[in-house]
Amino acid sequence: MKKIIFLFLTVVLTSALLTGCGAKPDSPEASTEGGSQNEAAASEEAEKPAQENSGEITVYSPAPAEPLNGGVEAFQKATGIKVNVVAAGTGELLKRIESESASPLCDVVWGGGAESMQAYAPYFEQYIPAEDNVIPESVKDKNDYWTGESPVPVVIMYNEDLLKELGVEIPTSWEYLLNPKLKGMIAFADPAKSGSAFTLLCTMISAFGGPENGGWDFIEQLYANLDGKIQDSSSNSYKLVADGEYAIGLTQEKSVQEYLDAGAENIGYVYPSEGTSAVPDAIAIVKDCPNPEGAKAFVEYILSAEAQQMQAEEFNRRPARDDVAAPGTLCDLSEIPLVNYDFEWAGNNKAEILEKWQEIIVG
Amino acid sequence: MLRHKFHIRLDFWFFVRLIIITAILLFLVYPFSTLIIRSFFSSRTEGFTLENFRTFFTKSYYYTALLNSLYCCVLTTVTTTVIGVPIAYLMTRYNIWGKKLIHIMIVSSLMSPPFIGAYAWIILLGRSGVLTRFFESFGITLPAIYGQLGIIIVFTLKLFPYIYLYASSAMGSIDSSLEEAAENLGSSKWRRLTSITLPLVFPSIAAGAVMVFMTSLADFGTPMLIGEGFTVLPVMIYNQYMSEMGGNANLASALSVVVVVCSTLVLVLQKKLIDRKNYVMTALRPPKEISLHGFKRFIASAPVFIIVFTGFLPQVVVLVTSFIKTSGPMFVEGFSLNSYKSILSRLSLNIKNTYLFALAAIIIIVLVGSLISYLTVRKKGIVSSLLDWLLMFPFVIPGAVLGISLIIAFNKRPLILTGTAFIIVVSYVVRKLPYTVRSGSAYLKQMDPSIEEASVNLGVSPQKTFFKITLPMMMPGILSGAILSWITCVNELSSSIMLYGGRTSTVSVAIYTEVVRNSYGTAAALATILTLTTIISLLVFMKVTKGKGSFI
Repeated sequence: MKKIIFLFLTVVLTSALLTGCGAKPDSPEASTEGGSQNEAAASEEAEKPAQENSGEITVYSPAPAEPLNGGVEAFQKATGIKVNVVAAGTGELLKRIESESASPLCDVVWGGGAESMQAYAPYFEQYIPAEDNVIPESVKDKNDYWTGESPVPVVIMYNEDLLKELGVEIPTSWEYLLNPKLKGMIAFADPAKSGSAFTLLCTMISAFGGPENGGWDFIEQLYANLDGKIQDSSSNSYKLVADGEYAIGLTQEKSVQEYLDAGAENIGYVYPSEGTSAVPDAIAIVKDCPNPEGAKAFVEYILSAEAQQMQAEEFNRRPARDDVAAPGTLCDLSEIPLVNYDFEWAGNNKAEILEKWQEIIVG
Repeated sequence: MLRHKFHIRLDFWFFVRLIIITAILLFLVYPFSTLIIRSFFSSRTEGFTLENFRTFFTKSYYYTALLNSLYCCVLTTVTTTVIGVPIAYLMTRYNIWGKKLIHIMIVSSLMSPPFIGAYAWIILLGRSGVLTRFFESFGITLPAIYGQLGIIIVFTLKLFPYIYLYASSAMGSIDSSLEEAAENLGSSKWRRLTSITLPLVFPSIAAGAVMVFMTSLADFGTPMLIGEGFTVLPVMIYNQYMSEMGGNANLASALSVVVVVCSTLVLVLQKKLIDRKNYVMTALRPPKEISLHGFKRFIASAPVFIIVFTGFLPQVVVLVTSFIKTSGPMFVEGFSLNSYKSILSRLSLNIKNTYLFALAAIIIIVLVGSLISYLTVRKKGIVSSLLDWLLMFPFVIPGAVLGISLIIAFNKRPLILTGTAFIIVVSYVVRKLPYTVRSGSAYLKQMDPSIEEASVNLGVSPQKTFFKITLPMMMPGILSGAILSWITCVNELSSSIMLYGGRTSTVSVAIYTEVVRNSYGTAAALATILTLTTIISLLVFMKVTKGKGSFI
């Protein structure tokens, strides 16, 4: 009998030791659970209000792993405040914030597309950053619910090898995506989950006459050419093109540039001739968040010249500040053909736009 | 004196019953009924409505997901049976090379996290997978792993062990005199197999097939990663709930109800089938292993090897991948430990959480599970049969559905639990407790109650008797069940992905988000941690049970 218990403990401990060396043995919630064998008692424990601890914040972010980890690590080093990251699509994160609004768990949302953030403005705290004056009006909210931290042009990414195989030319326009030879070869993420895909959706609607005049017709035709394949995450829409799984990806400039910098060959991107958009990724503080002081510190840090510089140099993210230079690898924003992107329309009608999109999918 | 004793007894077990029933009502009945109620409401109309179900059954986008799910599950059940039964037969009847190792490999591919299989197959057979490229250099185009075919292949390789385990345990306990009798009466080997052996093991195979069906119906990770245009119900539930569309929690609830109805039907069907065809075996003379030599032994071993190695391959793939160097989002030539360095510095909280949550869940499961087993076996009554009946529920509730119902029930006042470690532990306990109770009660039924009675008669309180006599005697049964539950908790994804918050993320959630965020190297390193934990735990399990433990 003792032998059995001994062995049982061995397995638990060995496996913990195997991997948990780096872990510090403190987790107030978890250890409460570990010790509590009475469920009723434990549930009372869990009812305690969210922790008021200036040493720790939770950041929800849809940003790709590299810039996200880079930013978070630099912040931790600079301030000593520990950051817990929840990484998922913009749509999913905002949905979480909505369903947690009775007792918020998140302090800061970092990197969601501005129209998506605008649509959830009631769940955010108004905040004016200290260096507000260097951030142009065009990338921030009039009502201060969110602040843009990096304008992001959306692009068409392509895989040259696959295009050659399919016998089609390198794309130049949105219209080009309707080529029947590309059926099922276009990677596009679900706009209900991905903020960047939502921006793409609205950009294409705007490029084809807006929501009233034929914009949606183009989307319907495009959806037919996707052949039912919708990516669950926006990172698939560049990852799968780089991996040679799709010929075309609808994605953001910085994501493709990251692959080009890492030495990827045979891929490239174009700014469609009908015009694209440069909606900023934004940062916002969650209303009634557990650690408002930590949240403010994080926002200030991300908007600081130092952090913006680093994000630009290391991860190809265009800075929101006008006193930080754009990454050298990217062309000047003025050279890119831009559509007349109705920001208010996209932000305030997000639910209706997504519903219309859903109708097209559901058929 | 007697009266007094009676009172103590009533108090202890009354207290136990009260706590257990309250906990079950709070964490199983309440969330699930909230979910059912939600499915009859819509943000568009006032009051009670069938709109969600109408939407589901009239829009092809939605009901196709149900058809897809059923299609995959039925086909997977067929393919796993076709593969699993022959392997079980070969393994129980012939001296296959490396039998013990093969057995461990089969079990560990069953126990490994489901989505790791899908992920590894993308690395191997994705459109730019290692094998795809290799064969393309010879001009052979392999079919890609995506879509329905891929899901069925991954499910089959992952789940055939269920059929194998059920079938081989039944084949091992057939009374060989039956077959000998048939042989003496002059029946051929093939006829003996089809008219004696297979009918005898049929109920076990059916039970295995139901496990396959239910597991594939509930699985979320595999179709999420490789389904692409092919959407199945659990994925659709997750999408409906997690995408930011107003009021879709109601539709997600309706979808959940549909899944639960499906799995309940299957379970009921199986009960009906099995009750009609159950044979009691005394197994005094289990069949002997036949020794083959040379070429014959090779012929018998080869098919087993091929299937089992293919099934085990994903675990090897993640192990190798975890050591490959990465540059930004891409894999490059050469090996390094960077993926591990990265997870230790960034995701050590997840690793710690995984083990702590699983451990907490196991402690509760062992304690509560043994109490419930005792109640249902030894203290028959209304409460006990109610418990028995309530504990059937988790069998038919997929993880994603349990996740949603816990969120819907506990994200508002008076009891806000979302984002806590507690709610994750609850979801583990609710899902795994029934298995422990089942194995615990089976063990207890074989135990002679006279020892406990003797203890009580000698004046020891029933409570002390339970902890000093009954519990230690039940321990081997409970503990072996607990190790298996520990493995599944460590690898759990489908409900944790719904319930995690910043501080309560686990390794399997991290694997999922790392894959989604393109960090394939760290995902592989995390997957390796889970795989190693699984294999070590399995070895301990075998040591504890001296190789006689049942995995099912």
